[in-house]
Amino acid sequence: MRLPVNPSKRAKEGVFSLKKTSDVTRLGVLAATGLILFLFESAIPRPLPWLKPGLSNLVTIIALYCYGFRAAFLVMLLRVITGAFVLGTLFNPVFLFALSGGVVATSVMAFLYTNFSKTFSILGVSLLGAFTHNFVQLLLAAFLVVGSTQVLYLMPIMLLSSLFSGFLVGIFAHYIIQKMEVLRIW
Amino acid sequence: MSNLKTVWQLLTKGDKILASSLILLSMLSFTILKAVSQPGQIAVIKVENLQNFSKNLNRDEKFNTSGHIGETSIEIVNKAIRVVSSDCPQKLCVRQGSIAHTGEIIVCVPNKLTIFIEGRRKNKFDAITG
Repeated sequence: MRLPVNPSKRAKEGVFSLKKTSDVTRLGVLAATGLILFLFESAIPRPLPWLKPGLSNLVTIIALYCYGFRAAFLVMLLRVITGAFVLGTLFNPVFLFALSGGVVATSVMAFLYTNFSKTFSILGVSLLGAFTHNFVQLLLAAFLVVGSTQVLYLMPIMLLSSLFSGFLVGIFAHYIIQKMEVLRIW
Repeated sequence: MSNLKTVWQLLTKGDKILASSLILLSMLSFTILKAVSQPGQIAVIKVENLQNFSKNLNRDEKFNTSGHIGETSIEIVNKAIRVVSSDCPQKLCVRQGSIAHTGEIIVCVPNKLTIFIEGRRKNKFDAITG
């Protein structure tokens, strides 16, 4: 079984277009799956309110590897906004954290994917994505909203847990994309 | 086990370097934070969530408070605060030593006593959940 380290044909050619109904459907399915994962992980009890496994990053990575940067960004945005709607956190600090973390993480992952896809596999991309996501959120929490550096003491825990979950998400994404390749459903 | 092996094979050299450097970075972040964080100004002492008083760290002082199970004697020396002796069984609060930086905290569970250090700036929010 080959690892999809190279961009898929669709992603490379930039065939993905919002004018095609099939692509809009793909986008919707991915965003909806992301929303479900997001709600699922919000319901899991956890020691710290911010310590989430970040499962919904899975769909962002799948979109990135199958349909390219633009699709990944759209899926992430849709997931964050609809998630905030459902949890009732729209336009409060939590939403700001989620949005900025998502934007930066997706950009970093897209950068790695397009420029260093030979050096890093999907595991590395997902790892760095999770890491930057948590890092950006903590920095924002420390300097913008709370206005104190107390939150930074969570840093080691947050970063280590992000590495763990990033690795897991990377493995999941790898096997899912493999199956998608076999089934030819992209 | 075979699955673990295949996962290991997925990792490229770049992945391994990235992962180990990120792990190192997150471990290091703790020590970096300690070095960067400013010394605090005020120690807030809470006993059983009822008594709540703060002390200025710039003045050396020695005082006692009575907690849930007994006396705790606390000392401020050299802009750092520590628990000198306590009536709790394990003496974890005494063994923790002194704290001086914003955000650091001493907790004595049996005595229901917490000491934490604040900077000059007040927090706008109590907590943010998500």
